[in-house]
Amino acid sequence: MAYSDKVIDHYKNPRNVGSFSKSEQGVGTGIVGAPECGDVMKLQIKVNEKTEVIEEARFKTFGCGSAIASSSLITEWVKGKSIEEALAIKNTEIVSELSLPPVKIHCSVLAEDAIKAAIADYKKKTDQAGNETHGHHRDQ
Amino acid sequence: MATIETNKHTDHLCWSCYQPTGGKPFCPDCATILPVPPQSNYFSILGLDAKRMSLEPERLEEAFYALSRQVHPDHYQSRSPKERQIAEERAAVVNVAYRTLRDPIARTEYLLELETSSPQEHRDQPPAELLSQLIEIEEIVEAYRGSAGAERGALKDFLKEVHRSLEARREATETELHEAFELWDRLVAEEGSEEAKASLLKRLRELLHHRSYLTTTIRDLSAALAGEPRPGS
Repeated sequence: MAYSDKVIDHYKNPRNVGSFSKSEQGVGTGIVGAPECGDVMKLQIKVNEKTEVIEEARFKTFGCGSAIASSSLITEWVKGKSIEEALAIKNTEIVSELSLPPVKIHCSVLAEDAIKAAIADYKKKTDQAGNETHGHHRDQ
Repeated sequence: MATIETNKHTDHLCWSCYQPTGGKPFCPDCATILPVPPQSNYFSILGLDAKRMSLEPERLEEAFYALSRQVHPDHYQSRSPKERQIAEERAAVVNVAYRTLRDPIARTEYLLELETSSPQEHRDQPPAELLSQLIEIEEIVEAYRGSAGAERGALKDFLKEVHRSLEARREATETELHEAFELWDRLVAEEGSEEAKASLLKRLRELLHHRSYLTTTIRDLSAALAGEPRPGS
């Protein structure tokens, strides 16, 4: 299958590969998978808790070129965005930016799911931290 | 156990003699070859019970060869263009049906396709624990690829062990799949509730997904241990 130049570029020079410590302050982790092909993606964001702006993002994707390119691209996009703005990113934007063929659309869905899962994880962590400072300690 | 019997469509008439066909591949009256009925599925095309999942490979193969012989285009060389065309279509569809149903994974995918309206509606929760484990393994695979000397030897031994355990887990998934097939057949035979069917279909889908994730990691692991580059697709 022919990949577009942009997919090849992200695949050969993926941006923001790596990981943060899950327990680090302000870090949200999303782990998702594409059951159709077995691809697995871990995407993490580091959020400034005062401004709720995503300052950094990292990913590790084990899968095809399109899945790697989709996650590389979305980590570029979310940097500097508020978490609300990042939640608004649609997989279709990734599809058109990378010219993904129909059989690879699920890769872009995976990237969208991953960022949503990372934000949900961040929110859960900050809610829990907030509750703890107010004396409502939750069992983990 | 698979019983071979014809399906029960009765609402079709033979295109040649206008007698009821009973959904059979050949007109019971004039023996003309009949087109595949529109509401048929791969099970009915191979003459199997509706959506039976526990299939014996030998019985399936027998049914396939018998049907293939009957509709083989060679027998239709001297027939009318319409009969030749129907025979070709039947031969093609019997082939696809057999290739789909003989593979337990493809068979499950096909059942899910028949039973659930749209795969997009069923975006299940990812199996978080399994995915985390697989990511950890993939990270060790990467470390192994970049390692040297004594560390490399130790990582290799460790990854070989991981490889064995993942293979065992994948086999366990397949065993569970076959157990679920039997449950499914029982539900269909006893006209079980829609809820029971839906929950079993969900289970089948989960098993396929687990297997698919395990397969990717096993593939990456095998390639690394064999000194080959990471497989792409």
